[in-house]
Amino acid sequence: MKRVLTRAMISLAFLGAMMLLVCAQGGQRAIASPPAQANASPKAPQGARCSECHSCQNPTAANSCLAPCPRPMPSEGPNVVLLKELSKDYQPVIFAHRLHAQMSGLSGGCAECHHNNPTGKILACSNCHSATQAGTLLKPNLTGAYHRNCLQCHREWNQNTKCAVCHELKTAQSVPVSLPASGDIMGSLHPDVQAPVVKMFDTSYPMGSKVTFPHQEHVQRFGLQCADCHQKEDCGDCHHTAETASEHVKNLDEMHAVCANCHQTTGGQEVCARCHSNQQLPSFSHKQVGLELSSDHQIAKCTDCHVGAKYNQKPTCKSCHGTDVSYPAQLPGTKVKTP
Amino acid sequence: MKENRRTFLTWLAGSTGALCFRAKADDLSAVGDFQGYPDRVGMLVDLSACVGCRRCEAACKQVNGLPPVSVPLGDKSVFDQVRRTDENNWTVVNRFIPGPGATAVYAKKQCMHCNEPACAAVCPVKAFVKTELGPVVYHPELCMGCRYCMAACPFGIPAFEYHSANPKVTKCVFCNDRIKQGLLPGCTAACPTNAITFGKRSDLIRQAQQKILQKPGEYQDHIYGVAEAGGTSWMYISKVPFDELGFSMDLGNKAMATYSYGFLSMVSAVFMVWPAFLGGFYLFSKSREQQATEPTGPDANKQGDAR
Repeated sequence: MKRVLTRAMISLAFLGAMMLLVCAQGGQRAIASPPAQANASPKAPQGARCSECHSCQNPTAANSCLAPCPRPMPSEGPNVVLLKELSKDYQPVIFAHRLHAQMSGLSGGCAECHHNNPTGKILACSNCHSATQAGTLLKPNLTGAYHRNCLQCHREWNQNTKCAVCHELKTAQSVPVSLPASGDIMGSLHPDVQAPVVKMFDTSYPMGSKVTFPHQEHVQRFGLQCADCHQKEDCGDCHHTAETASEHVKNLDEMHAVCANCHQTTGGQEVCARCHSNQQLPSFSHKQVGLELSSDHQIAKCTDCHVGAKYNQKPTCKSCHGTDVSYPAQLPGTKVKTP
Repeated sequence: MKENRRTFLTWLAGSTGALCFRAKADDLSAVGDFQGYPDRVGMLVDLSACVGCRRCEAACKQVNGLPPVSVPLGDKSVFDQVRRTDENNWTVVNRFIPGPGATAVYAKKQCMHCNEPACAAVCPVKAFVKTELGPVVYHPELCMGCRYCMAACPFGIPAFEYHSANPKVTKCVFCNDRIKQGLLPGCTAACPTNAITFGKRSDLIRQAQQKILQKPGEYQDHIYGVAEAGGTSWMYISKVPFDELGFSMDLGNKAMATYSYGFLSMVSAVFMVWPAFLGGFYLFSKSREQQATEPTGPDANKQGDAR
């Protein structure tokens, strides 16, 4: 009887010890995890760089300046993607990914296709869009998801091109498609867009119908990116299709919207006359914006004062005058009233 | 004799009135309160996803045994005019260009399968029936070709086989046989952009509301078909105002049939009670007249005694 009691006590003690051990381990685990996360902010994934998600130096809660998902640059993405879902009957669809990614800045960016994609790994469409089940309005099936992305812009399909423009039927003679070499046109970037040096606009403004827009100067001198002005543009804006070719007549505000981002476009005839003239205006001159350079300054190179061609920063006089002269305390010419 | 006539008239008026009252109280008000079968199916079209490929047209013809498309798919000249449904085309896709320079919007048109269909309401032989599942189905063996349905439909959908010796009315039947087998309707299965969603009507409305709320301002804050003409099984959402896409916006939110309830409830009264009452009155006054003009005599006395 005594032996049985002792045995029972021993086994109870053993059980108790085991439970304590398990609890202690659990506790240890619970305590151990926070320090690992303490280095990074609670939401950031392990080992992420701040600049991977935030485009500014000091993001705040109010201004998080989050880059749209997914984050990699177009150049980091694959050159060409082969879509092989229908490879049983068709040749794979060749999707010039980088070409599209590069031009996507003019519309919705990467998220135009890669929507709801968290930072980090790029998810395949089929991760969410089922190839076998019927789709819903909120989540179309894979066929719907692919076709929506392509056909929303590529509306130029017609009787002759049909589906074969993307889906080439597989025959006995078909050559297997592999990723093209980097020199291949399909894998290359968008051909260089020939930006105009100067673009002239004919307007209906009676006091001066011609507006000179020094395009090259805006790009080169002021370092503007294409998407700074060309926002929400469509491939169809350049690649005309029958359906989009009809001219949309812009109203006054729409026409001035792009310029008004930086320039004043309202405020009477004086303001209008800065751009509207009866002849083509010369490219940028100080005189036009309020300063007539003295003759000795006229021969100086632009970059002598605008160091590093940074035209949006205050020019310096140091390169010739040392530290004794500075702009704008001393002007390199005489101030004029803007025309 | 006198007793008989009075009894007859009283009985006639009473029973007709009771019949009218009963019909109005029970049947019609019950129809008005009925919200529809809760599990009925529907279709939801996202017009912004439609690219106008017309594969739905071709698929519809294939599954319903109609002749193939007359204008090949991809031939965009078909969009030069706005088409309507006809006996060989139970669904048609039309193109609308909302404003100069705007991207074309395509809108599929077919029977809307109303919650309370006008075609079924007017059909004298019950050839059109709204099923519990949702589709408004057609029974050609019952149809007598009166074409009341064509006149009644607020969406102008039913078409008539004018060139047939034994003409029938035709319209989309929601692929009733296919959905009963668990298959998707022909058009829905064929749509390459998944612009058409098939499902329980109540689920579809919730999805559409969610889609509109996801990106405020992108879609029109209106689900066409939830309330139009008393609600329909086919519903649409769009980024472009519906009136620019050929959708009737003046149908009201009441089922077409409800407009005739007031009138129809009076029909029995007007055509049964009144004639009986007036006829009785006529007979009564005629007999009085006859009595007044008849000469008094032994016969008349006899009649008077009888009275």
